Amino acid sequence: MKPIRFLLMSLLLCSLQLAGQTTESKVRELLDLQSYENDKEAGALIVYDYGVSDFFQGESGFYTKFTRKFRVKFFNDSNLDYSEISIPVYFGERKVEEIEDFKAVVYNLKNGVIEQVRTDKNELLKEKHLKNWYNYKVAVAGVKAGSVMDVEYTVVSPFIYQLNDWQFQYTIPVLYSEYLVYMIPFYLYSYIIKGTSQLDELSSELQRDKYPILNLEYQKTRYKFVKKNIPAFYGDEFITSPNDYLISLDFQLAEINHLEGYNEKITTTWPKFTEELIKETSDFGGYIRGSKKLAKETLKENQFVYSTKLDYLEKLVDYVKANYDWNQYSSCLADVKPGEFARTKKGNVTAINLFLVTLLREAGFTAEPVILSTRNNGKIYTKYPFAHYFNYTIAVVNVDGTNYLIDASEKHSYFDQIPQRAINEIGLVVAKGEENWVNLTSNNFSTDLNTFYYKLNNETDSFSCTYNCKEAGYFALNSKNEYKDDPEKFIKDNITPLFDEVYNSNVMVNDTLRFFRYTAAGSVIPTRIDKYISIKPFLNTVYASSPFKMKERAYPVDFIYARKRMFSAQILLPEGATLVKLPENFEMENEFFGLKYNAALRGNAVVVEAEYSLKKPVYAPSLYPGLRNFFDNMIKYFNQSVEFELK
Amino acid sequence: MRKMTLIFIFAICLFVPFIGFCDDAVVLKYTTKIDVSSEKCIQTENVIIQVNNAKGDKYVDFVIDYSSNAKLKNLTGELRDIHSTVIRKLKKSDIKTTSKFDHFLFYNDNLAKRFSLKHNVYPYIVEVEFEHVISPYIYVAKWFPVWNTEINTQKAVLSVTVPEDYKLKINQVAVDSPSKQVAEKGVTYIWSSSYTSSNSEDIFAPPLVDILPLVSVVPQNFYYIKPGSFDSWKAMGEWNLELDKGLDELPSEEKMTIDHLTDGIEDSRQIVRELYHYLQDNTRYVAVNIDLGGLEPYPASYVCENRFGDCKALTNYMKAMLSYKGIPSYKVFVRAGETPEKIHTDFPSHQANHVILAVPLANDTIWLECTASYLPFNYLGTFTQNRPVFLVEPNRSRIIYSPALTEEEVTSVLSYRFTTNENDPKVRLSALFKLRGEAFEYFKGQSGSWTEKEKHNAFNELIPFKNYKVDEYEVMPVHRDSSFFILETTGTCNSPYQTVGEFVKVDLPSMNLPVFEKVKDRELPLDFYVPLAQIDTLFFDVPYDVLELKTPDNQAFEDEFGNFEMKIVQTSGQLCIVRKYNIYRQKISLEKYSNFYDFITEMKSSGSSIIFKPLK
Repeated sequence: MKPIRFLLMSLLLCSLQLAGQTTESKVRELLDLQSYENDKEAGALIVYDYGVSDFFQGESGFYTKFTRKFRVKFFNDSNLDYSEISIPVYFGERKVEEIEDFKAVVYNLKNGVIEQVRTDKNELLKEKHLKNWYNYKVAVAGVKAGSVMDVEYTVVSPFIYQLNDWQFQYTIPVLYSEYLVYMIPFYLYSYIIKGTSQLDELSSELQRDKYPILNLEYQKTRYKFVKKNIPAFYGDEFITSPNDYLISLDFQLAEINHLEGYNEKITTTWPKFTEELIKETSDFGGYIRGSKKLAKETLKENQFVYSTKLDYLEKLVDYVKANYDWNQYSSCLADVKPGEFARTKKGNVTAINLFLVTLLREAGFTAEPVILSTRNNGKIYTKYPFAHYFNYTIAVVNVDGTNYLIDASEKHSYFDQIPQRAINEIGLVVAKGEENWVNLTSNNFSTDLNTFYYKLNNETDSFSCTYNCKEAGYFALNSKNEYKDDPEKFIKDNITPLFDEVYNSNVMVNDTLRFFRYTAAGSVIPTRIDKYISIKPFLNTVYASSPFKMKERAYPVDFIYARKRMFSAQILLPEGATLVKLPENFEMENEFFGLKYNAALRGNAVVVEAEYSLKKPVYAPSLYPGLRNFFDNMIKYFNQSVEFELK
Repeated sequence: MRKMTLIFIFAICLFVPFIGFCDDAVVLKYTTKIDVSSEKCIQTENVIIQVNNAKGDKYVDFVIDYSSNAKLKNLTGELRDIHSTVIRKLKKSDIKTTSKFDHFLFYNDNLAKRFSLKHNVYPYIVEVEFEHVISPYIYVAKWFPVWNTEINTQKAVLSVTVPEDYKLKINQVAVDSPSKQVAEKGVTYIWSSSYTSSNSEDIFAPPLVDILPLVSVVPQNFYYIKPGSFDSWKAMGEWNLELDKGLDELPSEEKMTIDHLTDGIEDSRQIVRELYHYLQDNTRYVAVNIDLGGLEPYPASYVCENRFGDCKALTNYMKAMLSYKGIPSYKVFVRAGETPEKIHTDFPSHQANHVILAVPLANDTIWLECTASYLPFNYLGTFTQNRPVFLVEPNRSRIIYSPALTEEEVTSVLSYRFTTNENDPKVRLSALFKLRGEAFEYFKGQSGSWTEKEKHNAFNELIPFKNYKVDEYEVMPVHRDSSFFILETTGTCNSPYQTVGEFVKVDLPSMNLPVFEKVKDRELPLDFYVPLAQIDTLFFDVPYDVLELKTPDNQAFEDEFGNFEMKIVQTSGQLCIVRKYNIYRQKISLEKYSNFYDFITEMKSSGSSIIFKPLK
């Protein structure tokens, strides 16, 4: 026996030694690496990123262990923030997630020798956020430009409803990313792969080991998700959310196979999902039921006087807007109980809009909640009934066959105008046993009409100009919000810069006719050289510079809403003056863009009329060159001058 | 009846302004009561806010900080209507507890209680009271009669009660002397003031805290980690030195590294430079504040181990390295920020928010900012330059002035070349920027962490010319201790030429002068803490042989505020324009603002364009 044992030990030592050398040489190679050849600008590189989620049996049932192990090479100090680790954990009322282990090792080269600095679990600092979430944070010791950092940690969770999602892509490149999930037959999960059409490896394999439970045995199935050579994510302007484009894996519990032998579907279909929200969720359906008392009292105490059903609807919506405040938090579940909502007059967006739904129903309207995902939360994939998509609730009301979408958390919007943050493709109507989606995006134009009237003064050194701007749609809503917040600032930002001196200004908000209007009069000093005068008819109301400077674009351009802007200027020529230069006319029109510019001499005035429209709220990347060209033309033609010569 | 109605309306119009009815909200009373003993300070605050409309609701969203050495107790709140009828009281369930998040800190162990007390019938009144028990303490009070800078405070009262034999020091600014009451409990000092909010966003204005009434109260002697005294700056310095005792020990490995780095270097200045570069290349700024509100110093070994630290830790570490090499250096406490707040030099007390290091050599003093890996050696930027600072030196701690950035050190030099092509409506623009001063600090500090796109966007914005699109850019490598940032970029832009009749007008890029408020809109004086200066040279290709310039080819003017010069030289096919301006480091009173505004206006209009007539 002895000789065999000795042989085995030698073999073991030999293999350990070999493994140690391989690790050290790999680290040394990385320490010597100056940049990543596929992205020379990258300040750091994730060399590998391994995640494992596994199930274990505990005293009170199954729990999951999520282990993550990753290695980062830092080329310079521009991405050292990757050494500031933050691990979120959830604290329920009776159960908590825990960090079982944390360790980090940093390698640095010093005089040819590899030095190591270690950080362990004791260095973790706890930070409390709202609503049961904590962050454990640590700044890993020893990191600097050139370092290689290894981090490994394990989170143990009793919350099997939330299997750890996985993010493949970051703002630095990733060489290799792998996520293993050891599924057990008792819990079945659905998943979505976002940001890419395929992975480099996606496989499943039944594991050999058998685990006893009660009088049964089960085996685990290992799922493997791999993606390699992932470029760094660079965001862009005019996009909804990085969440929509980052390559990642999203899980949701779909089914529980109970040991007692019965099968429980958690979420398989949207109708089931909405039914559960209404019947079983206290912070949704329960909240609606609990709000009835307040709704009844509200109707009783306020004798609303109205002329039509639509008028009544508007009054009820206005009442909720005026009397209840949004606390700036979003979730698709109410964050307060109905009693507290009544008392504090404050709640999250769902608390406000579910109360609105209840109030409208008590008043006799057909009203349903609509849950959605806000723009910065990412989009919804309708194929997969995942609850955690949703973070917002509005209401849909049907009056005489027309659906109105309403958000009472937005104080200044028209009663059926939802705020921009909620415009994110589609929302789900929460009606028992149904799957109904509503379109949140509208192709209706938001518009403004800008008119200018110029008259040269007697001294011929300045024009008196009367300006009128009438806005509708989201232009009006944005201006209204700005104006109600700070009227002085609104004038300072929107009117004062147009003139050399403002004589007067006036702002009119007309909620009945749904426009926002402001007028101003002031002086504008033209370009004057000798007897020649030149003036740009539209002042600073048009783009002087294109927002699209990059030659290429990977993501759609999202303007949120379609828009049309119209301009009309009349420049009175002084007596005896001669027109020297009339701006060049231009026109382009297709299904995506529209641009018109026309200048003409009519009697003793130069009349310039122009308009441009972005006919779609969203433009695919393939349309980006056209969009860029459109803006270049708009800037070129709309910034032309009218010139005339005085006698 | 009608007469009574009219009288009533008239009375309201008289009465209304006094209850702040026209403001969104107003603080009716803000009371701070401080009971002092040798071990602790109990600070009780009570605020009564009247909310007049929905916009004022935000002023009753409360966030109350506390920590392990400033414990929060007895938090109560009440919502009342205008007739003082209680509508509801603050409940425990209304209050949420979170960490106190701070953008500048990676982590701090402070917590915050958050709650709101709101009603839907206006006006309504909210009263909140809470107590902090602070132990240990080095400040009894640093008090402004302000609860929220955005709304008026009609009456603010500070009362400080100390035992009869307690020695304290008081500094008060723009507030009447306190009344004094002697009782069994001790001596009570009472101050009273008020605050009128200002919406001023005037640029280059003194900081608000320098304009507000202020009462500072400190104990003459205290125990904060170690015993100390505010009797003089010297005494305060000795306390600081006691705190740092024993914290400069370096591990032997670190000593070996230092020896290796400085081997063969005799010159002290060179040693300091070598070690400063070592600090910059091997450590980074990460602020983790735990215990005692961030005043507790960190040992040098902390930085050796972690390779990061806050300003105190990194400065202490640098000091320890120099000390090991036998080079004395001194911690310097500074109130950092681009618009420096006033330091009350006649009131020794803790007034700083940052630490730097001064290294006096035979012929010079070197100043080191230990938290910025990108700043040059011996460079104090706009963040810490030109202000009174507290230098801690054994037996000689005192207030001195940090060096001021000179005109040369802040003058950016820009060069533009515009090239036209007959077949292309766009103009090619090549630009070369040598940025200094604040612009240098910004670009040097930020550009290292920018993505390609962010760099593109930032460099696009840097060119003050319409519709500029960067095609290529290059950041020129310079010595790490250079105090300038060189960027070369080429791209296209809109044509700067405009034909007006028989003339051609050429719009010049803006000179990056700030946009100053019109005279009628300016509310506050100006304070230029650094000079503003720039030189730019512009080359234009013009498709004409001879030009008759309508713009004078040589303009220059100077007055008490600064100077401006513009020269135009024409050669065949090219125009060359050189513009220079300098706004001096200075304070300008409100009375002189109109003169200053005229100076700026003249500068802008002189340098904004040139006009010429091509001659056939």
